[in-house]
Amino acid sequence: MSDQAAQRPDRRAEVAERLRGAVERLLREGETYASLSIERLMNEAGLSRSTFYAYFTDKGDLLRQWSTHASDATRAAAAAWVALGPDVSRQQLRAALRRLIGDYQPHARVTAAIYDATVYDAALATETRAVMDAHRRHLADHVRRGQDEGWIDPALLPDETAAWICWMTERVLHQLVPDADAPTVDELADGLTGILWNVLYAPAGRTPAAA
Amino acid sequence: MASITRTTQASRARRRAAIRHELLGAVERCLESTTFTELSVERLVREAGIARSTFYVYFEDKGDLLAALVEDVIDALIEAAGHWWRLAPDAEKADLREAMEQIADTYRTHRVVMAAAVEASAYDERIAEQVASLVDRAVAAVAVHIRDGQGAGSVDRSLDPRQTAVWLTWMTERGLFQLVSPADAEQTDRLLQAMTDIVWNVLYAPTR
Repeated sequence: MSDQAAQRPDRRAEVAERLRGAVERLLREGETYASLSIERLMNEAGLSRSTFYAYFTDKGDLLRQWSTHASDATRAAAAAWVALGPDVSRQQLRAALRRLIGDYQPHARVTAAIYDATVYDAALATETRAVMDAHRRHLADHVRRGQDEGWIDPALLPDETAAWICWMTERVLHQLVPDADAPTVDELADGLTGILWNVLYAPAGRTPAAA
Repeated sequence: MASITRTTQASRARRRAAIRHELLGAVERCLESTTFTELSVERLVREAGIARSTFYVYFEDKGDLLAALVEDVIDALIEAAGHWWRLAPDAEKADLREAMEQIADTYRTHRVVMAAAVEASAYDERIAEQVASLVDRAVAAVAVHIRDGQGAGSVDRSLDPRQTAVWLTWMTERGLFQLVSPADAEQTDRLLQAMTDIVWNVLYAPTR
């Protein structure tokens, strides 16, 4: 019994992963997470209805399991960007942002469903808010470091600027990235590069070609 | 005959507008204590002081009412955003800040309806389409503003008008909902300063 209990968190993550694939397919077919029945979900995943309730209390609980996973993925995807330093060039920024969008894309559709569900799931709303706060703090730290070291516009308010940029990125990643083909991802990366370069680095005298 | 029909239609439209106005107040009061999803037509008509049957003469259901309310808010927001999109090429940063305040004020005035719209768009396709149409109209208008500014030399020529408009519009939509809507006066001030700095740096600063 105790062995089984110890294996449960792993098994829960495993089942959640399998269900993520099934939900991805259903969302791509035009279903919404809100209207999706557990019956339909488990059918698509080839699992029994009772399996769902062995690991999750409801669809919101499943979203919460994915949410933890997705925020790790986002943090990893954003790491190359916030690691940029004094020698930042526009080309480096473009490469880091192209990678961010590309790495995030496999998670985008399900994470978009998570953010949509926050409007009627208070627990999920609290959780995603905490995730967004963590992203905002990371980015605000990046802005502060750049301001201290002289490679980011010193006039910007770090926390508020980071907050607008985080929500901007959240929205575009979730609205436009799930269905984007490779050329579209390139265009989105170009658009975001133009914006972030001009907002953060260019006013501090960084030139596009800086080594 | 035709003119009688027109008169009837016009008076029906006026009556619908009046009832919509009553119900707007009721929706705003009810949503202080509940979500749009949980709000019943029963409670809504009681709050508005109209008969349930009257509600159904003018609106198919709760979603139909929300769609009508959202339509009004979208018009108001597009109107307010015009203060930004119509800025002259020689506009100063203070003018941009003032335009951003107009947009934020309008959003805050209608935040209950917008929150209900965001909530309902998770499951109501019609509302989702309305919100999407607001974003589409805004993206198109921002892109025109950027293209015109590039022509006049007031906006960075290296920017792709359409792509830049997409990111800036989503930033505005989401930031107003997530950040400005719940903020107090002091936070709002800082948020609008940051928003103004962002838009100023992206578009205009490189040409000054």
